[in-house]
This record gives sequence, structure tokens and C-alpha cells, in this order.
Amino acid sequence: MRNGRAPFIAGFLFAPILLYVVYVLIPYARTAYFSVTDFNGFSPEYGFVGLGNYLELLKDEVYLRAIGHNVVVLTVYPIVTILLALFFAFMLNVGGRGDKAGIRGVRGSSVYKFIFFFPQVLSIAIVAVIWRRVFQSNDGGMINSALMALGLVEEDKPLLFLAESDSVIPAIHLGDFTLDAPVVLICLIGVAIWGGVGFYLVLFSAAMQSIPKDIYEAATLDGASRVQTFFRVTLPLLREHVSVAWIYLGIAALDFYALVIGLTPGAGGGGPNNASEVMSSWMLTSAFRSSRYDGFAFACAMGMSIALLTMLLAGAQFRLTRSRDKLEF
Amino acid sequence: MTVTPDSPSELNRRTVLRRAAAAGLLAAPAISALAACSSEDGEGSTTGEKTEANPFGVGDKQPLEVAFFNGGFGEDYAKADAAAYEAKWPGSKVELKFSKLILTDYQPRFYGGNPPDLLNNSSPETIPVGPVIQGGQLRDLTELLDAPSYDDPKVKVKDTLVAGTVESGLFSGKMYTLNYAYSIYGMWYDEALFATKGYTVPKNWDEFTALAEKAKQDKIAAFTFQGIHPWYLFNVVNEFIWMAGGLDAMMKIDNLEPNAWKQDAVKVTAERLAEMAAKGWVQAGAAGLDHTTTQQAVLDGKALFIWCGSWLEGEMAKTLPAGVKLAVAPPWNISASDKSKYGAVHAFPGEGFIVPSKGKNPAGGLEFLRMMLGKEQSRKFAELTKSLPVVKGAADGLTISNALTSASKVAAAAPEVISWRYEGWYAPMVTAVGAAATDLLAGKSTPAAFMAAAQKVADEVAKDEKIVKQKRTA
Repeated sequence: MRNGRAPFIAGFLFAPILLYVVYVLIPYARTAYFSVTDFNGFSPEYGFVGLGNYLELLKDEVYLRAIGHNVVVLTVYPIVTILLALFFAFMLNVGGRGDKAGIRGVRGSSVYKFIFFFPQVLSIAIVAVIWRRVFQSNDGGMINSALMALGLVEEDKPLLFLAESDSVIPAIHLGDFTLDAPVVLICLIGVAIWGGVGFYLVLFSAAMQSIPKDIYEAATLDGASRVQTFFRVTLPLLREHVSVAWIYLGIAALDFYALVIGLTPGAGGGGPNNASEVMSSWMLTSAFRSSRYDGFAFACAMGMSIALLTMLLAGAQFRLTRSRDKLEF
Repeated sequence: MTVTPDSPSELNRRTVLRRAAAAGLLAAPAISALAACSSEDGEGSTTGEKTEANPFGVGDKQPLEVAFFNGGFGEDYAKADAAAYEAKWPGSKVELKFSKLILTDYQPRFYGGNPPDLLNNSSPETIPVGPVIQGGQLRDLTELLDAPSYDDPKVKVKDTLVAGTVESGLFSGKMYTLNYAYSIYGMWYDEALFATKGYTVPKNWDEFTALAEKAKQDKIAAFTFQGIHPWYLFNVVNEFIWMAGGLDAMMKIDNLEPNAWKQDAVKVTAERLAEMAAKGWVQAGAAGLDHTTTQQAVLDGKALFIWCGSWLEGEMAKTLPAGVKLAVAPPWNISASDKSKYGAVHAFPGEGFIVPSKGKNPAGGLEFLRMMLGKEQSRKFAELTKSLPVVKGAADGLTISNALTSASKVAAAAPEVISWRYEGWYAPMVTAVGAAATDLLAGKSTPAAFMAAAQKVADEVAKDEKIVKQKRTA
């Protein structure tokens, strides 16, 4: 029996492992290797340069600014997404009026669920097209035309949104490092939240539905308000799910590539004037649009540093949210 | 990116070497197959007597293999050329081939020593001329330039070409590539709108100022630009710098000279851009709009001028309102002390042709090119592709496209051709200058900040040992 099972399991695992090795592990290893060379992406002849590329990363102002942008995204995007998703999930599942017996969501909650989840089924390209129209910087843009109709924006001074590089916080400079939050970046975060809330809403909804109704009923009988129920009952029981969501969103926040490429000005996105550059978009620009002969290797070093930061973040998250005693119900 | 003749792309060279190795395995059987068929049809003599009418000594009844790139210009003009050649040399069968990727399809033929007689070296990937020349595989086209032209034996071929054609095909001082199509860049506008409103195309800054103020009263923006694609505005900056400072100013920039971006020509350019923004002459919100939206604004009469290339009419064909007559104007002078005279135009010959020296009938290849540069065939090209060839006056009197007519007029009248090289050499500068100029036109920056931003990147590029430096001498 045993002898029969091993080849059987190996047979099933062979294809996925092969795919994983060929398409994930080998590219990672190659990237790590190229990052210490002066490889140009085309020629098979290249030399070993040690950690030079990594040291140059620390002097690349745009890269350091891009890290700052990722930090902004990392702070705002997961928190707002999780809070909104939690709030909506709560309202849709247990937030209904208490004038009738039983625990339920607000009226029409299934319709809301569909509406909230809808952005999740759209491809990022469609999302980009839609939001470009919404943010368009003339009277054809949705927000601008509405504001113009209300008389809040003059017709010859439309808001630029995705082409606006002004920072909403005073920029902080530390040596070559810059921390700023340009309007264009805030717009992108808004789009990401719009696209992400639905998914986490469904995730939290499912979790909430698995919480026994009698816990809620007991709380209601004791006279707990909706707010109290949320903070005392729902949130503690959703700890695990929130923590998972946090890690997913954290990783997404360190990427953000597709939105930058799809929505922002400039060749390869990241504009105006690097105001929306994130680490991944700057990596691509450095690889293929730089004039340095070893641009590709430099970008590989950048990629390794992104991988390292992502792993550190995930590790920290796991540590911080390591589950205490799991509640069985 | 422009490929400049005196900067052979290192990447391309290496790519081709690598492919040469890979393709070597495949090429050998093909060669023997081709050799087998060619031995059967060689009837006439390989070379003919060189005469005024036959300057390259094309042999009688010699087959000719010509390979064209099948891209934006299509196949029709190539077929017309082939038919004309067969008519002139009866019995010389032209074997016409088309390819979408010249490098992939024809690199093995060079490697196998069996190239076609004429090759349209254009497409997303082309044969890098540098290594091929070093291998002695390309005909120096100087003999074509010095040959009598197809229509008038008293005029040499080179005298029928528009300025800049020869320069654009030079490699190490010799011409190996004949660029056949001529793209004109400049300020595009709707001639019909100008006629109804009584506007005139400005030749200097005062005239532009007057026009812009008049247009403002008519609620039309005098200028717009393809906002989120800064490359277009990058070109406007360079054209203005050239108008103000001429070749000298541009050479300093191309050669990364210290403080090149602090010179007067740059200063006045930046001030003019800032002035346009400050006085409200620029389409509102243009900085955040894309190329089709802003180009459409000109077609719809919401803006007067937009900088673009001669592909504009084709690009906007689907939404071109009836009655709009697109035309192009050269950049106007921007100050009283401008070094360059009005009329200078940024134009760039492209769509290269090369004559491999190891083909069976290189004389035929040269003759085919000479014929293409003749009046009849160059006019055919203009008619069929609605684009200009590098032949002077080829599109004169053609009325198929207003944009084409206007572009050919502007090209013919140009006292000099505006050009810069750093665009192809130093990519970070293109990005930085485009972004800084966009800030200027969005009214978010100052001329001083523009100059500082451009100078900073220029200095960084100059300092960066990892960027290979080039030198412009003319």
C-alpha cells in the first residue's frame, strides 16, 4: 500500500512542483543572481559587481520617494479597506433594526452585497478606463462636471486629480529620502479601496455568519447597542480574519503596480513627475527605460529589495497578530 | 526613440550576434534550397554596360529579390514599384517579399551570405547596420547619391532629396541607409477654422500673443498638448530651444555641456511656456488629458494648435469632423533675438532601405531604389500611403489629403531642419524635461525650477559612468 501511494502522490505533485520551480523559484534565483552583476538584459556576457547595485539603490532619489509612497499606501489602504469592509459586513449581517425578533442585516442587504462585490469582478484594465473618466481633468470628467455644475470649480480651472502632484501632507525630507502623499497617489488609494472593499466584505460576512446567532441574541437581550455588539462581540471573534486581510492588503499595498501603470501620466506611469511612482513601477522603468547599460541588473536589485521588504512586513504581521487562544464555537 | 546613425545600438548588435548563433542551424538547408533554384533562372548577363540611363550596369533579364516591411505603409506601393521595375526591365522578374519582422526573417540570410538585393530595413526589429557594415555586407549608397536621377540625367539623385535625408542614413560618415519616408512634426491646426475666424498662422511671438488673446475672446484655447504623454511636450521644448538658440544651443544640450540648460535659449523657452500657462492660453486641464482627447479638442475647434507628427490625420481619421482641414505649421519664433529663422522644421526621415553587397543582383537593388526616388514612383508612394517620401516635391499638387499637402509645403519651404540627438541617447532626460515642461504648462512651476530640474538630470547623466556618452559634432 505504502509503495503504491508514494508514486501516486508524487505523480500529482510533480506537475505543480515543476511549474512552481520553473515559473517561480528559478526566476527568483535568477533575479537574485543578476542583481549582483552588470547584466543588461540582452547580452550573455556580464560581470560580477557585488553589492554595488544595492548601494546605489540607497542613493536613488526616485526609488526612495517611491518607498515613501508605498509607506503611505501601506498606512492608509489596509486600514480604510478593513474598517469599511467590517462596517459594511456588520450592517449587512447583524446591523438590521432590532424592532423584530432575530438577528439580520439591513433591508436589501443582498443587493448591497452584490453592488459592493461588483468591482472585484472587473479586470484592472476596465477599472482604469472607468476611473480615468471619473477623474478626467476637464468638463468631461465625472467629478469635475459635477463640481462645475454646483459652481464649486471654475470651468477654466478643472481639478487635475491624476495629474496633480501637490502633496496633501507637508513633504518630509530625510537626506535623499522623501515622504509625501501627492493627490494622484490618494486618488489611486481611493480606487484601490473601491475595488477591495467588496472582497473583504464577503470574507468578513462569511466569518460573521459562522458566529452563532445566540451570542448576538444574548447581547441584545442584555441591552447591548449595535456599536457595543460590534466592538464587544463581532470584532474579537473576527480577529483571525482581520489579520489575514491585513496581510493580503499589506502585500497588495507594496505592489500597486497595475493601478499606477493603468491610471497615471507618463511613459510607464508614475507621473506626473514621479508623484505616483511606487517601488514596482520604478523597477520596471529602471529595467527598460533607463540609459544605464546595466539597467536590468539594477532593477533586479530593486526587485530583491521589494521582495525583502514584503517578507519583513508579512513576518511582522504574523508575529503581531499571532493568535492567542482560539475561541471555539 | 530615434536611432541615430553614429550610435550603433549595443543591444541590437548583441541581439543579432546571439540570434546569428541560434539561426545558423536553420539557415544552412534554406541556403542550399535557394541556391538550387537560382541556378536555373540566370539567363541574361549579370552585369550590363554602365551608361547614363543605366548607371549601375544592371544586367539584362536579371531576377531581383526585394523584401519590404509590411507595416503602416502597406503593400500597395511596393507592388507598384515592382510592376514599374518589371516594365522598365522586361524579362527581369522581381521577386517581391513582405515581412513583419525584418530582423528575424532576414538575419539568417545575411548570416548565410545570401541576402536579398534590396531590403526595406524597417519594422519593430531591424537589422543593425553597424555589425553588418563591419562584415562588409552592405553597399555604400554614395554611388546612388551621385548617380543621375531617374527623370533628369543632369540632376544627381542626391539633389532630388530633401535636406537631412543623407545625414539620417550615415554610419561612420558613409551613407548605407536610404530613409525613404519623411515625417514632419510641428504645430497642427484646423485651416478651415482659421479661415472662418479670420485667424492667421503666427510667425513670431508677438503674432502668437495677438492670436492667442483673440482666440481667448472667442473662448478657444490657443494651445493644447497631449498632457499625460509628456513626450509630445518634450518635442515642443526642443523646437522652441532650437528657434531661440539654433544648432549651437542644441549641441550644448546634446553634448551634456555644463549649464547647457541654463543658457538663454532655454530660459526664453521656459519663460514662454510659463507665459502661455499664466495667460490662460492653454486648454484647461490639458495636463491630465490623453492624446486623443487633446487632439480631438483641436479638431472640435476648442483649441487652435497642438504639436504632433504627420500621422495625426490618420490617427484621428475616425473622429475627424467633416469640414476640418488639418494643416501643419512650423514652430513660430519665440523672441526677437532668435538665432533660427521662421520656417525651420523638425522632420525625420525614416523607413530605411539597404542594399546588401552579397546579393545576386546588387546593381538591380540600386536601380530599384533610384527608380523609387524618381518622380513617378515617389508620387505613387505619396498617393498610396498619404505620407511624404524624401523626394523633393513628390506630393506637389496632390489633393488627396490636406494634411499631406500642407506637410509637403512646410518641408519644401524649410530653411533648416531642427534636430536633437539626446532623445535617443539619454532616456532619463526625455522623462525629466517632459515632466518639468508639463508642470510649467499646468501652471505649477517656474522657469527657474524648470531649468534647475533639467540641469540636475543632465548633470546626473553626465556624471553616471554607467551611461555610455555620445558626441554630437554637427
